Amino acid sequence: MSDEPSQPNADLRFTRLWIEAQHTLTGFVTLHVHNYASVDDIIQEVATQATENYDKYDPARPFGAWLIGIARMRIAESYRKQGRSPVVFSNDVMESITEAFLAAQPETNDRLEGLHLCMAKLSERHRRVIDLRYGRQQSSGEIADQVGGSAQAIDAMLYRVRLALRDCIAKYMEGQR
Amino acid sequence: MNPSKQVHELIQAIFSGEATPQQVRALEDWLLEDSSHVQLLVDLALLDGMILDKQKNEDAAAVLNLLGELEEQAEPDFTLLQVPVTETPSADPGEESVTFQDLWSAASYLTAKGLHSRAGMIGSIAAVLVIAVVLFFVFSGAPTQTLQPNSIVDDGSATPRVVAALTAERDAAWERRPGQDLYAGQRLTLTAGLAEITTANGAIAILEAPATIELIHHNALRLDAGKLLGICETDASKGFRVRTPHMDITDLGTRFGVDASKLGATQVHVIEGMVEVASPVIDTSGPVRLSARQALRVDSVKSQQVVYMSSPFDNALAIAQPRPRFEGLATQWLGRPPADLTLGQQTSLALQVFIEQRGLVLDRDTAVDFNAEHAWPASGIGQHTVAVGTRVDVYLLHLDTPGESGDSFIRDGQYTVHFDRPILGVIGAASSLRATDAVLGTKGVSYPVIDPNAEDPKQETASGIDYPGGWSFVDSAEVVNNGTSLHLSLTTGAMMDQVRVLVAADPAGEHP
Repeated sequence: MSDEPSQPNADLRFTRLWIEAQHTLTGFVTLHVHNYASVDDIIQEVATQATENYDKYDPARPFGAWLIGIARMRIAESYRKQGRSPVVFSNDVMESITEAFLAAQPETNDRLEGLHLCMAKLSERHRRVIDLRYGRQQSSGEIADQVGGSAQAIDAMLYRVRLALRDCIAKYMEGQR
Repeated sequence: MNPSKQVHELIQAIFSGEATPQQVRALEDWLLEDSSHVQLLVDLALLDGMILDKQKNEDAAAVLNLLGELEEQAEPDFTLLQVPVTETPSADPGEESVTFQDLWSAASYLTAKGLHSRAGMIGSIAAVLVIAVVLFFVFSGAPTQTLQPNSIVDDGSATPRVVAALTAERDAAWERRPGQDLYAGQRLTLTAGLAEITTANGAIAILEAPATIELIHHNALRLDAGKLLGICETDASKGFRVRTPHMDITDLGTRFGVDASKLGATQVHVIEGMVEVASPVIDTSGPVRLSARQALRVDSVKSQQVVYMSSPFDNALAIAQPRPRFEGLATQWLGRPPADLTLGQQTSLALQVFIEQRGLVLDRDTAVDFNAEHAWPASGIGQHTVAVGTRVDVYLLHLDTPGESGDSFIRDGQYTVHFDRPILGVIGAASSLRATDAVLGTKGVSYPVIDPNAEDPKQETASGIDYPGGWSFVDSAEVVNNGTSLHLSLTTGAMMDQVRVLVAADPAGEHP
């Protein structure tokens, strides 16, 4: 019997690796791309490129790091097409950011569980604003027209809610350790 | 780490895409000061991505479950298309080639059925498309085969992410200790003692170590090794399924024991009621039904009836206790209270129900705040009595606010808890609760302490249910259903809500 894994097994392994790294990748792209529709486009482009080039992936390297490398190229390409300059961190900072993303990957399950619990604790008003921003991808101005207040107030609210969620999730994860 | 307002403004500018080069450089200086600063930025980015995915849909989780089912049923020379069609309640058997449309249809079907299985990963529409793209490349070069969406999924009912709770333990030790909430896809290994898991549908599985299980969904689990006692006494829990290495057991309303502790074979012993057993080695046209005092042993080549024995499950039977009943996941039965019931120590958002004492004989007239004749809050505080010499079971209902307090974390809930015997009295005021902790509570448990500097001078709301004139919202409670059920309407925010319930004990019961 051959020691080589069958092709379907390799494909299944790729799928598993992808699913495990997906949230790390989405987080990395979200840090650099602020239009959520563009985030989806870039994720799909990364997926297609990774699928087509999986045979070139070195298993000795973290899969998430490989995906982030592809994502950086796709993000730069996206900005070029829009005629814009991307946010460019220095190499030192980018290296620290990438390491932090990869270090967080094993805790994805706990983060998701914590997010589920912590989102349930939000007030109705905060949940609605979250849904309008992340689900319906409305701008702060559009959200303000619906729920009241100014666009700046909506921005500030969203940021405060995200900080509160982050702290809530961190406490949940601490309890899981 | 406590970032300055300026740093927060820089981070906001980065996430809005409006940061100037100068702002980027300023933020970089801060990031390079300490690795925890980078962690904040990364945490917020991860959170953004996860909220994005969560807000879309959860089809990818269902597809992941589908992948898991396909993977586990594969032969050693596995190909994705060797899928034995085992459960097709309404499928029209027949072959069709698997195409990209089939995969998308499967995901759409699962969405339409409202399946939400927690496989540890929540995806998005984009993720589903990605997975479909990947699987298409897998399928495109393979021979045709039948893939029927509803052949893999056990039922079409909505499956919540939290599918069970850890409700009791005795001398338990775990390979990795779980929380109280248990999720689909979660794998648990009990290395010592006994543990009781109650599923969202009310099925009870009591494990005896060493045992390993994986939760499949709200009414099914896989027993990979060890012993399990299944108890299904509610209508909702009928159909509870235990998958083992050698057979699948479906409970039809009963108590049954499963022993997969011996390598190479699994046994099922029906203690009460009836189960259905399905296995590739059982030579019948459908599942086999076993009734009370029947037992079956199945290995990889054959099945045979064996002598019925309940003794292997005596330890598990010993920790199975009568308990209150309720619907859904907003309320959880957790057996004995944990060691710490002070504010913020419990991570569950559910109303938790504990048994504090069984068969306690009151050594004095005991004041309660309301009963079947008098509802809260009109009943006043401590105005009613349960007489000395009365034998009671004492329950504590506990609703905590994990983590931070504040407007973001106020929640409203309606809860109804049903007891098998009459409710004699309920204690809801904080002062009444704290005055009875020592006598009615569980020894060794840390209960909240009334703060003498609390804003509310009556201190009635510090840890009990709210009283008029205290905080800005008022809870209500009443005994209903001919005195055997307690209905609560609670608004919980900065402080916890607790209620202590005295229920008439079974005269034949013993004081633990």
